[in-house]
Amino acid sequence: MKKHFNDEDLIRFLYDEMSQEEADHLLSILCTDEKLWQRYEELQDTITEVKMSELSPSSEVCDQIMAYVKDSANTEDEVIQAPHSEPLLSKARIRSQSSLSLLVAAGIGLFMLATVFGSLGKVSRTTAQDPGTGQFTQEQPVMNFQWEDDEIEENIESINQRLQKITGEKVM
Amino acid sequence: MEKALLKKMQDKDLIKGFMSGKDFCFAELIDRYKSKVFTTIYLIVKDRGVAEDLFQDVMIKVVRMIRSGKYNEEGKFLPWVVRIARNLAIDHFRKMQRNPVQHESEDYDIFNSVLQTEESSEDRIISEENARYMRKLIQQLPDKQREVLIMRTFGELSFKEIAAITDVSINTALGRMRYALLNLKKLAQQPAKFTGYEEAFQR
Repeated sequence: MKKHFNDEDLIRFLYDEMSQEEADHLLSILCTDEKLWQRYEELQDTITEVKMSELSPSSEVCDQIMAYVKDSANTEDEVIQAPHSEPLLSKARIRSQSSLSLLVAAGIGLFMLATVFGSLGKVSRTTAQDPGTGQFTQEQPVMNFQWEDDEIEENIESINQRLQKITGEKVM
Repeated sequence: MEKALLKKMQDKDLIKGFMSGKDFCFAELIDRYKSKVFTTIYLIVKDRGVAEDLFQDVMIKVVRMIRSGKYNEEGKFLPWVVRIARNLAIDHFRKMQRNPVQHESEDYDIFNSVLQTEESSEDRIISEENARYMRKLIQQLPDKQREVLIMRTFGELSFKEIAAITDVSINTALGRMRYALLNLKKLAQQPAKFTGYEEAFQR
């Protein structure tokens, strides 16, 4: 059985990744080894703080996901064929998609105008004949402890507190 | 179905329910793990807006994989989802390194958060501030330490699983976890040097 425990062992203990036999041995040492106990407390405190830093997504995002789940329930073909999952809600993407739509619409409009006027120009040009050569012309487009007898009671109380803390506040 | 009953159901039963067309089972899964998955993504990409987009991508991918029978029931649900989240977040991160754009900082949600907690107790506000401060510290950890810390704490992957995913030994994964925790403690004790994190790192 291992006699010395280090930080990595304490981490495995805190995350419940230690065999029951090894954990029981560590537990017995934790009750009497002051330094090891301090390391345990430090690591445990940090892990607890990390766990408390969880962040949740907005409710809108979760609602949108559930809307997708319901909408796509009976469309297996679409689920299988879709090669890429686009986010359902994205301010950035919505903005960029809106801008893209506007650009495309403007492009189509300009193209149509160019086509119409180009045709008119062509008509007018084709109707104009170079007087010198007599030919028609076109323009090209340009995009982490010692016992003393009188302290026994106190120590027992301390150990009991530690045991209670370990069993009550074990991280996982 | 009664909500209290849903809360008592195991993941595998919720997945079976979802596969048989009960959408509320998936809603319970989202409710159960949204914070862990979202935090995992957020701590990788460091941008709330992008993290929300990726969170949707991840959940939609999860829905499609479950429906297509690609989810392995023998595996644990959360670690499975976190693996997907990690992969998508890393893909995104790589794309962003190639095509950098200006990110929205968490300030984006500070205002919203203050509004949301306006009527709550002072303790709650302080607690949220501490959480935000801790996220900032986590984001400043070296990538490999941060990765192990996130996967073990929020993704609930074992050190053995993390070692396999990151292609290192279990001792290395444990060592990174140790340094991550030590560095976080050190950073938390040095608020005045908040901008000089790298000097405080041991590895």
